[in-house]
Amino acid sequence: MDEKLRSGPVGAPPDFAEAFREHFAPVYRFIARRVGADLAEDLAAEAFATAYRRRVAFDPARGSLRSWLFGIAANLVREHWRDEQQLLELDARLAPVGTGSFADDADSRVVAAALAPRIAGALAALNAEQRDVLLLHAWAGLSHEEIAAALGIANGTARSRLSRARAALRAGLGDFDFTRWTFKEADHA
Amino acid sequence: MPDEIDLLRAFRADTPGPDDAAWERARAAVALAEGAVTPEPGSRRPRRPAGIRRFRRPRAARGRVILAAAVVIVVGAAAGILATVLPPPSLNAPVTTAWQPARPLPAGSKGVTAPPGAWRLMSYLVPAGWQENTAGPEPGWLTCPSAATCYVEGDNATSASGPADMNSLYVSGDGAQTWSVLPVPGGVTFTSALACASVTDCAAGGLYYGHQPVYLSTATGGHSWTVRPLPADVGQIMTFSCVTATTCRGLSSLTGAPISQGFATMFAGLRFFATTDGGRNFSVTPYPADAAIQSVACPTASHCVAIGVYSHFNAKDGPDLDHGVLLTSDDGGLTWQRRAWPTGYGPGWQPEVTCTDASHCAMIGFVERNGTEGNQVGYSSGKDAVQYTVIGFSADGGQTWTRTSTFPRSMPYPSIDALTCPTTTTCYAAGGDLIAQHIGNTYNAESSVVAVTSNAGRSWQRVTFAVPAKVPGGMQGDSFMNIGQIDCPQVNACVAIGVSDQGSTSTPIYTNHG
Repeated sequence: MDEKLRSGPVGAPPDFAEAFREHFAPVYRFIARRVGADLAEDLAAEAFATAYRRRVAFDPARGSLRSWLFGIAANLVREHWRDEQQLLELDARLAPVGTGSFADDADSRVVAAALAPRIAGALAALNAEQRDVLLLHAWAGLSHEEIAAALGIANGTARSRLSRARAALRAGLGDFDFTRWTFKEADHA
Repeated sequence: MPDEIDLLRAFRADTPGPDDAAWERARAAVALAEGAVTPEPGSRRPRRPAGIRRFRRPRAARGRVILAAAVVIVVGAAAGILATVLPPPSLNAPVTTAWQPARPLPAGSKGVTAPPGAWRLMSYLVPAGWQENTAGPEPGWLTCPSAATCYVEGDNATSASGPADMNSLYVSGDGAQTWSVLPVPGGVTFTSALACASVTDCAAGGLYYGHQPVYLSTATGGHSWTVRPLPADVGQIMTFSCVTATTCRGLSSLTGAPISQGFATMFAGLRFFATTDGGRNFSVTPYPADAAIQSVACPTASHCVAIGVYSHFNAKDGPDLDHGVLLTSDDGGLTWQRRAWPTGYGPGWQPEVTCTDASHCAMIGFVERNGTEGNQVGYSSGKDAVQYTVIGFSADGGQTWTRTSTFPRSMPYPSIDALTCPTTTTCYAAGGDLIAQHIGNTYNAESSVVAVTSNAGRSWQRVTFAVPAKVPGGMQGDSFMNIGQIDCPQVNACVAIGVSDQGSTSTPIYTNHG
C-alpha cells in the first residue's frame, strides 16, 4: 500500500487516486482537529496537491506513505500556527464542566470533556515543535519512528521531543492526579 | 490507568471528517497540481540564527487566494522564463557602496520599568510600525562591540519554507534603548553574524543574490560596505571573529547544507578559514575527516579552539550528541591538535565554544540519559528523556575541561542557546527552561532564562526579570519562552534577544545595562 506512489509509472494518477481515497479523510480530520473545519478544507486540499507535486520525492525506505502525508499536513498547519493558537485559547476560556473525581473506569471522553479547557490551555502553551510531535502521536497515531520520518528529524529527537511535550502537557493539566484519576483539590473538599 | 495521551486522544474526538465539499475541493486541487512543475532541490539557504523561528503566513480569504494564485502563476511563469534567459547577477570584483545615513526608527513600545542596572525587559526591537515591510524584519544575529553599540541583523523572509533572508541591519548607540536602520548592499543576504574588531570595523559573510558567497566589510559602522566575492574554496562563511579590522578567522561551508536531515543547527563540511588583509586573500584548512567541527574560538592571532561532532553517523539517528570532537591550534589554524573530549557531557545539537583569552574558554555542553526525572512542571521519561545543558570551563587554552556546577534549582532543565564571557571568570548563559509562566491569558510551558557566574562556573545565579502583564500587541506569548542571542561586552552591559517566529512584528530585548 505504501508503495502506491511509486508503483507502475512513477506517480501515475491511478495510484495516487487510491492513496488519496485511503488517506484523505484521516489527514483532513487531523488538520480539522488542529485548526477547525473551515481552514482544514483549504489545508487538506493543499496537502494532497503538494503530495501530488512532490510524489517523486516520496521514498518508502525513509518512512510510510501515511507518515509522509501527515508530515506534509503538519508543515502546512505550522504555517497557520496563529489560527491553531487562537482556537486553543478560545477553548481554554470555556468554563470547565466539572472538577470532581472520576470512577476508575470512567470513559476518557467524559474526563476529556471535563478537562477540555485545561487540555486546550496546555496545548496552547507548547511550542510548535512539541505540539507537532505530540499531536502526530496522539491524533495521527504515528510511532516515534514515523514521527521522525514525517518531520525529517532523528528518532532520538522525536523521542525526546515527545517526552518533553508529554511532561509539559501533564504539567498544564495541573492538579489532575493521574494515579488516582481525580482532581487533587477534591481531597480537600 | 489512562494517561495524558488518552485524554488528548479524546479531546476534540468528535471532530467530523470531510464532507462532500472538502473531498471535491481536494480533488480539484490535485487535478490542478497535475500541471505543476516540481522545483529543483539543492538551493542553498543562509543559516537561520537561534533567535528565529519559522514565519507563519496569515490566512487570506479564499477569493483572494484564487486571485493571488493567478497572479503568482503569471508572475512566476514570467520569472521562470526570465530566470532561464538571465542568470542571477554575480560579482567579479569588489564593490564599495557610498556612505548612507542610518534611518532612525520611531520610539517603540517600552518594556518593564526597572532600575538601571537591574535585569529587565528593555523594549521590543521591531514593534509594530518599525518594520521595513509587512512581514518583518525581525531580530536575528546580535553583535555588541561595546557597551553602547550593538548591531542586529534582521530577517525579511516572507515565506515559512523559504530561506531566512537576513538582509536588514539595525544599530543601537545607546545600549539597546533605541535603534536605527543601516543600509545593506543591494542583493546581499547575511550568512553570519557581524564580527567586529571595534565599534566601526566589522565584517560579515553573505550571499550575493542568493547564490554567490561574498565577504562584507565596513570601517564606518555599517554606513558603507565593501563587498568582495569569495574564492571558491572558501565557500559560504557561517561564523567568524576578528581580532583586528583585517585579521579574521572562522568557519565556512562549501554547501551551506545541514549535517543531517532534521539537524538544522549543524552544518556539513565546515572548514577553517582565515584572512589577514581584510578579505583580499584567504587561507582554508580542512579539519580531520572524522571531525564535523561546528564552533571555533580564536582569542589571539595564534590560538584557536574548535569543537564539533563526529562526521560518521547513522543517517537515521543523526550525529552522536554525547561524544564530541575537540581540537586546538597554536599556529593560527594551520595545524590542529586533537584533545580528549571532556567527560560527563557531549556537544549536543548546538555546540558552542567561546574564549576570553588564550587560556580561558567556556563551552555549552549537553547531557542526556534514559530514565525518569520529575520536578515542579511534571516528568520526563523514556530513552534519552532527561536532557539539559551544562557549561564547561577550561583554564589551559582548551586542552582540559572541568564541568561547571549545575545551574540553580530554579533552572531544572536548561536549554542554553547562547554563551558569552566578558571576563575570564564572568559568563552569561541564556536560553529557555521548562518553567511554566502566565503572560496575561497566555500560559507558556517554558520561560526565558539567563544565568550568570562570576567564578568561572563554580556557582551560578539565575537573573530575574519581569515579563509583561499581558502580551503586547503584534506579539505572541511564545516570544517570552526563549532567548536566542546574548552578548556582554562588559560585565554589566549585556543585551539579550528573545526568540520570535520568522515574520514576527516584534521581539523582546533584555538588558542589565546601567
